[in-house]
Amino acid sequence: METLRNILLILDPALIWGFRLLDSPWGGFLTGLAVLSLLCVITGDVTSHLARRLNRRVYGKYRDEMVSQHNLSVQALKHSDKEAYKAVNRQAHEAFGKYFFSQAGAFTLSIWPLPFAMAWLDIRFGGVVLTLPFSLPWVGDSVFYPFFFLPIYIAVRIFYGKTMRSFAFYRRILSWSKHGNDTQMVPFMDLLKPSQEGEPAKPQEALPDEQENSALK
Amino acid sequence: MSKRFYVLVLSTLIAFASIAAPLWAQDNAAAPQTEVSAQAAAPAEAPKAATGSKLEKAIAKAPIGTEPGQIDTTKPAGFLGIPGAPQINPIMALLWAIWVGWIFSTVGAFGGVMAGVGHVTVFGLGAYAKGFKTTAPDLNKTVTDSIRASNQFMVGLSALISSINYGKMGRLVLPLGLALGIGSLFGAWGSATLSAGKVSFSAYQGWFGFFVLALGCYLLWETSPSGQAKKVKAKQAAQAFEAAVKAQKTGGGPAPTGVKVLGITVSKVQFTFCGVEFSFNPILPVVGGVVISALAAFLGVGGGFLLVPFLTSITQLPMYLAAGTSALAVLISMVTSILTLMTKGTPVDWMLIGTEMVGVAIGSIVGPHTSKYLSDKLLKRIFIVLAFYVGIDYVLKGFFNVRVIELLFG
Repeated sequence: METLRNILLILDPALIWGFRLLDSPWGGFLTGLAVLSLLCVITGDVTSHLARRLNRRVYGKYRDEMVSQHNLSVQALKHSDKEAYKAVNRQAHEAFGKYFFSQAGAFTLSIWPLPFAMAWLDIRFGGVVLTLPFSLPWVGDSVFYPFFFLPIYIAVRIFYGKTMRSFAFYRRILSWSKHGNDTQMVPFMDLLKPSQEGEPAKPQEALPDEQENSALK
Repeated sequence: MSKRFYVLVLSTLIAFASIAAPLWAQDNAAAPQTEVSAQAAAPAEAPKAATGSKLEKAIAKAPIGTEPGQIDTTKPAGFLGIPGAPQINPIMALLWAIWVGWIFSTVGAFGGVMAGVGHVTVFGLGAYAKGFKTTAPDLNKTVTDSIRASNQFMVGLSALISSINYGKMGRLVLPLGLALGIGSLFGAWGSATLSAGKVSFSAYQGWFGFFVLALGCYLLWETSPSGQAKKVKAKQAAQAFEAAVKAQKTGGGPAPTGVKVLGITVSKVQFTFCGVEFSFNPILPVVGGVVISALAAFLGVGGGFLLVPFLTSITQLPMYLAAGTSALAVLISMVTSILTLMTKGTPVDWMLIGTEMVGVAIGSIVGPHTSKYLSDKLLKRIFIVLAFYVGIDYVLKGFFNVRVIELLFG
């Protein structure tokens, strides 16, 4: 682990500049955390897309199986067939398990820079007590850097996901790493609508939301 | 023209910012006013012990020397920056994490357990922590808490992003998720509060082993004729229905649509969905949340693999909703447990977690490509043997201080 720590020390000048952008101590600290979060999110996003592209056939197979079983279970409910519903739903759960675990791996590749950032922050700010201007219940007025870094990372990640989708080149990246066919899971809410008996679930166009979701999973 | 133009402008801006911003920052780095800015302005220090006065206090209380159960100050800093603690080789950590990721993606369980085995046995943290049982109990418990928190951090982040995504997709049954979540909150908080700094490594190892043994028994039942028969029956019923839908033979007129609540009492909620009757006990999700989360928080595992079958068995919730609802409960449980441990000063080795994350990701990507060469049944049987070995060994070592190998071969 010593080698990795030394690598972080070499990277230090590239990571600290965000903290020196503003004169104000608090402003500089928070801006630095935001810049660091953005670096983590971008690096993680790039590796995650590469992994998805590399595994798109396998992921696609798992996803299509899951969607097909789920939609079949909706069909069973549409026919008021509880036994068929329970059997198909069980199959859907199994298919979901496979898909979920495959996606968890891809998701891990999107957050791997985060602990390294925490390790670097620990070298830089570990043990520095940050005094809040007010006291929070169960927390008090003294906190450490993770108190700010983790919420900022999450906010930056959400902002990044939403903003990048508005760029055409990013949408192209999303379709490049996309897996599975365009059939979507039929929402159960559809069953609350007036019945269209016997009509099989129609393939729908993949929504940008779904693509982003899979990219961020 | 427009798309390329925007890409060009964005790339230029990024390139400009990456060159100009550090230069600008250098100019603005003068006159730090607080400790935070002083830390930012100062050059990075040499590595030091991970933060947490709890760890520093625990180290201070430990005897100094070269014997087991003593802090050897002549040796370089190891795990958590403790002098003389095991030096975890990053390549070894990466390889073990690849194995964990491979299991995670092929078997769909056992990943958290294998991660725990890595920390405890492969990296030698268990034996190290155990050495302080009598000489420095505080250090023993702090290292134990650190192992638990490390496991949970990975699961918690995964649940966080899943919950946000499922929420956006409307896949959360909010009342049920909240009922489970409230239970999870109390379970995780209670478990972490009651056990933080109080669980000796031996007790943790013993209970961890007990859990692995139970998991092994479940996997054994799944591969048994009765477990397989249930699966085959469900598969056949699903295939029969699929064939009937294809042949348009499902018959019957249009099914009634919507949800009709038949009755709500303290112990039973009964409703029909598309004419199909469902019922569940509303107290069960809360109780289940408490029990599963307390167990997960204590052992440092996710609990999602327990929550999904629990949800489907008590509410027969469809897959579409069970996954999202359980992710929310896991999130609440993990966040509560991690925060409780961290606010109590539990140190975390972020470098180790980062290395493990990269390994888990590599293993998860390789897994699906290699699993086609091994049958599900064979894989499960391999893990049953592993689960029984690890489970029995940890129970014996944790509760009775006896090793399986010593027991078998003297």
